[in-house]
Amino acid sequence: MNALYSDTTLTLTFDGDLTSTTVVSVRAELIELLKNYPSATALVANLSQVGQVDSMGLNLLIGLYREAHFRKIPFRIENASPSVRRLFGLLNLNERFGVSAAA
Amino acid sequence: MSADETEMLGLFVQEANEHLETLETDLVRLETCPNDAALLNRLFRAVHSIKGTAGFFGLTPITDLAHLMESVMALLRDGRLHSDRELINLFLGSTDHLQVMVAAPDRAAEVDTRQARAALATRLDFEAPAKPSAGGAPVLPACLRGFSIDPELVRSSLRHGHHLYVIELQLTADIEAAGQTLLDYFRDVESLGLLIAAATAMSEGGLSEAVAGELQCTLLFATAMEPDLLLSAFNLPADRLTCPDQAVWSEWLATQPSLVPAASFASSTPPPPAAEVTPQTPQPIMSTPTPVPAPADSPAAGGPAARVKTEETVRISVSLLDALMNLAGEMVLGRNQLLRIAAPTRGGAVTPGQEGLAGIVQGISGVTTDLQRTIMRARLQPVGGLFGRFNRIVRDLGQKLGKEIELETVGNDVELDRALIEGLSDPLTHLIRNCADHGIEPAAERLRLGKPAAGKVRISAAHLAGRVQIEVRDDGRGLNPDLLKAKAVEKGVLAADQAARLTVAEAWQLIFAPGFSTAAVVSDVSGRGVGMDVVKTNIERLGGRVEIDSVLGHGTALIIRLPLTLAIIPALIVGCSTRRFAVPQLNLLEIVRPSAERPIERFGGSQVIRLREELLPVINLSTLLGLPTRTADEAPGYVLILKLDNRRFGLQVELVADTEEIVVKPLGRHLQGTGFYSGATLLGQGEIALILDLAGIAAGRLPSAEASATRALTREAALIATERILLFRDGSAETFALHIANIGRIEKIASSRIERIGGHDFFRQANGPTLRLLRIQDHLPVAPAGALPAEVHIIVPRLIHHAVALIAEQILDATDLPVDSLDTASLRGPGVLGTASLQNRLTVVVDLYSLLQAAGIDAKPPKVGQLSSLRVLLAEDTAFFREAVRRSLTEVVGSLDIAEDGEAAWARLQTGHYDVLITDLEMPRLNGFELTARVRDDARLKALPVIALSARDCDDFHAKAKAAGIDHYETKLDRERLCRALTQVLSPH
Amino acid sequence: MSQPTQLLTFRTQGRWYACDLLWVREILRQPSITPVDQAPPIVRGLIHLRGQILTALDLDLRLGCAGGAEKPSACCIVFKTSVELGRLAQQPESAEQAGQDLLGILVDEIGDILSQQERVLPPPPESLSGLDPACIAGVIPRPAGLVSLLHVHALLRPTTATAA
Repeated sequence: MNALYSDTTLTLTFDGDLTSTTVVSVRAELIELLKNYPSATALVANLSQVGQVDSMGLNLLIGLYREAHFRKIPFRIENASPSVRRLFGLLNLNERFGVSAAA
Repeated sequence: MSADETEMLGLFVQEANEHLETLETDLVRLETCPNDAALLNRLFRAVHSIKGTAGFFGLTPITDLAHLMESVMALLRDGRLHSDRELINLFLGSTDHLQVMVAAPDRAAEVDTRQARAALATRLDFEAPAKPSAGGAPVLPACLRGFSIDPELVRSSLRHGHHLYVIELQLTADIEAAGQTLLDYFRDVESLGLLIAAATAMSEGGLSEAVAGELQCTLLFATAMEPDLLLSAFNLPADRLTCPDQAVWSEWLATQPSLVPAASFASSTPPPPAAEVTPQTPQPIMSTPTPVPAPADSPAAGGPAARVKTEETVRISVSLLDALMNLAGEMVLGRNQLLRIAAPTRGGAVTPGQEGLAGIVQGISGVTTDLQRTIMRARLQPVGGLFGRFNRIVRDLGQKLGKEIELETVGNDVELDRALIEGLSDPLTHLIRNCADHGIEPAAERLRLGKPAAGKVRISAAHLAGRVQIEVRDDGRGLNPDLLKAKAVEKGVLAADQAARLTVAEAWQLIFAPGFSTAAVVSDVSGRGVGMDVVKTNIERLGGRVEIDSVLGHGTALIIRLPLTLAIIPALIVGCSTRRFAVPQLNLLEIVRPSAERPIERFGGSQVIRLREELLPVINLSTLLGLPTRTADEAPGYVLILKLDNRRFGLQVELVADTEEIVVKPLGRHLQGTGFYSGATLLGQGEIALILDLAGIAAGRLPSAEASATRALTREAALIATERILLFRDGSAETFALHIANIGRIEKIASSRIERIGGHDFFRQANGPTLRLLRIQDHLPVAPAGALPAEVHIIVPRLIHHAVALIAEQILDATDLPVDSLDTASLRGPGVLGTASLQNRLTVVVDLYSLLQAAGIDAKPPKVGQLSSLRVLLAEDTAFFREAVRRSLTEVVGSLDIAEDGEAAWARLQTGHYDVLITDLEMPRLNGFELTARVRDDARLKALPVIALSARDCDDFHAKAKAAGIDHYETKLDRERLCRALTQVLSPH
Repeated sequence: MSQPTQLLTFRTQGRWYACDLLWVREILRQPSITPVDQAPPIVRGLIHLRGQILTALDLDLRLGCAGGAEKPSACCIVFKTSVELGRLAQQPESAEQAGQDLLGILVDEIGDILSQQERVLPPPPESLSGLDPACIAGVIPRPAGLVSLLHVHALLRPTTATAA
């Protein structure tokens, strides 16, 4: 995973699927990373490299969303693929993730 | 879009804007009243309406945002969430988004509302988890909460006879464990029916706990399938399926807006509250609504389908209103003519055939007035609507600038023409921003200055003298003329020498210069200096004027005066030569005819007339306007006694006609600046009469308020302002006088008991110190004294430490010395206060202190300790100063009684016994001058020393005070000086 | 500027002028003028027009020439207000600058109505004409002499000299 800290916005670029197989290690990586940026004022998850997201992946993203809430900073998801966006739409997660509805 | 649709869209925009306005106002109010149920309901309904109507036009960006707002508001309403400042900010920000989107609905998608929506959604999740919980809702059953449900989908499903189910899914366990991907699963679901809504539960805990638990999702699903079939298709246990009752849906749908043909558009949606459309509204085909006053919305009843009943409104175009008004105006003209004709002739004779006509005409007259008034009300609006908007602005500014600012609005009921209110919106907004930005200091600084931490901004409206006066006042820094001048030079507005020559008032005017801004950092809040000059231009464009008043360190006031563009006012019609003028009845006190007994006299440089006890300045209208005047012999004319604010003056005119109700018509641009006229009107026969602007006429032509009062009192007061003196002789030809206040006691002694020691005379008292005796002639430039007779008097002064007394052979009389009759030029020297001719004798008035000094006695004014025997009466109407004076004096004087105004003080004086009166000058009922006049007039109180306290310190006042017989004039509030004044009063000169 | 379709011509003292007919509301003959004392000289007074009050301006003074003798004016050309202009299908030049107040100019005589075909020459320099250049749109040569075409919006606008 890649972290870009610019203008106090922390953008995390995931580099692979977010599924039950990868989620645990991604989560560990996330927790470590987030510790390094305590003063970030906004959190962005860049899913441009993400192919598949299953329920565990969703769970992870929701966890990230909650983490941002605890820090009282805004959170949004960018560059999700159409199918991922569709999933968000079905489950009514668009708003939370700051994603516009899939076409 | 078809014409119909365009029209409908226009209506939507209108209504939405009305809702948005109430929304904003209510949100600001919510901060102070977070638990107001009616308020919360109103908020919910406003957003709900917007969402509903936006839905028809498919304006999803608007509905999405509105839905989230609605959901969070529902939580507030149900008490499941409590509002805080952040939430209010969030709502206000969202309202702003809505406003932008509503203003251009076709481009609504361009507005970036992601952050707002995310923030609102967060509130939903964390304060009230989407997982349904127990707790009844007035509208939706618990299991349906958390859904964003489109009522149309529900309706159409029900119409087709489908079932509506609430299905609970555990995504991992139910779907993926069975080997399906989520997307595939949902594709299957959608093949079986219609997915109306979905809600995903947010798991507890943060990142650390994520992925540990299951992800739950609830669906609202419409399908023709029976429950058991559905369960097997979804492979779910039975407890995951709920099917809400048909009744639940009916109830809920009844509260939802429904799509109906255009004809009943207006009636099916809850009628909007009669709020006013903001000026930024794009003008659709149907134009601005009539602000028919509506009663406050009644809170929705708890049950379903509770319709809110508000007064029905109708939209009417502005041009139609104008046409109605003109027609009504002409009707008034006709009515006035009719009144003249139908008026009974002198002597009460009625024209044959016209009996009963008078009654009918009166009836028509009344109806005409009512008609005019009612139509005008359609254009008049209370200014409170505009003022109300400022609450939000002040709140936001306070937050943004980190200052505490309170807004007070006065005169919310004052009604102004709509055009005027619209025109004022921008200038006033800017002025308020300026107060907040530049005027009010940060809380810490204010506390250091002894001010309350919260700055106050006060905006007020009032009808005054035929104009409307709007003030924006703050209690902040005030304007610093030096700073302004420096900035002007720096900005190149003025050259340095020009700036140096400016008076304070002129320096204030610099803020209106283009390109002028004194903010060290030009904040984006009030913008650059271009703001104030635009404000002035805008106000002048409305036909008004802006004035500034400021006290450095205490605050600034900006006073806007506007003409009354619309009104029917009762006015007196007067004339000079062939002209006719209207004088607003509001300002007219009485009419007097100058006569031999009461002529118009010259006094100082102006004309005055005596009215009972007062002298009032008189302005001659013909002279003012450059019309030919008539001499007093030809026609004395009339003097209208007018009242303006708290000044009174006379206006001399040639003739006086009737009092009429006139319709005020504004003057065109070319005539805005004349200063004498505030409008025009049409009289009965169609003649034009100009309405006089009394403030403009009086401006600069009346002696200042204080000076005119001085004149008023001068004549009378001069006779009353005297000082009580004692006349005595000490053997020589001259008569001496000493102020009685100086005299402690007088004794008669045998000259033989006077002992001469070391060149001085002494007298040993039986009880008391030995007194040194002085012969006045020894020390004054007068003829020397002769030998003493067998018995002499000695005058022992008051409040002199030294044991000394004056020898007086013969005590003559106590009398009054008129204040201005003291001649201080003819005889000068130590011990001489002046001379006066009293009772045909030249009298030398003795200055005790300098006499003593001439005699080598160092007589200082008595120490403060002397005051401890004083009985003081204080007349002061301001609580603050009462307290301040009380604190200054309680431990110094013997006793202090306090009266709250002149009348009360007068009453006290009758019954009480006082050594000195301290009085404020400006008090209601009876002011300080008047009180003093009464005191001087009263036989018993004549000699009572009077000290005046005033907030003002100017020459006029001093002169006036002296003329009124006030012994001492002090400005508020210096304790030292006050005490010194007290001692001086007791032993003057 | 867009060519006006029809022009109204009028005369004060010896000079002829023209303006876009679209701006004109009506013409009053022998109006009764109520003077406003202490008003700027350019304001000759007020006229009552069917329930409304209009401000009557002196054309000569406005243009900068000496005013005529104080004789009663024969005619008053009343111009449309912004509201009335707004209702027109075709707006005359600079209609957006119109105000809401009712204004008129006092003239001695009303002349012909000229049509679109008239040739309009550029205005002469102020030194030659002696007229306020802001008001002059051009000149129209006519058999009887030159007719000065006026910008109505400029004519009606209060100038610093006139507005107090």
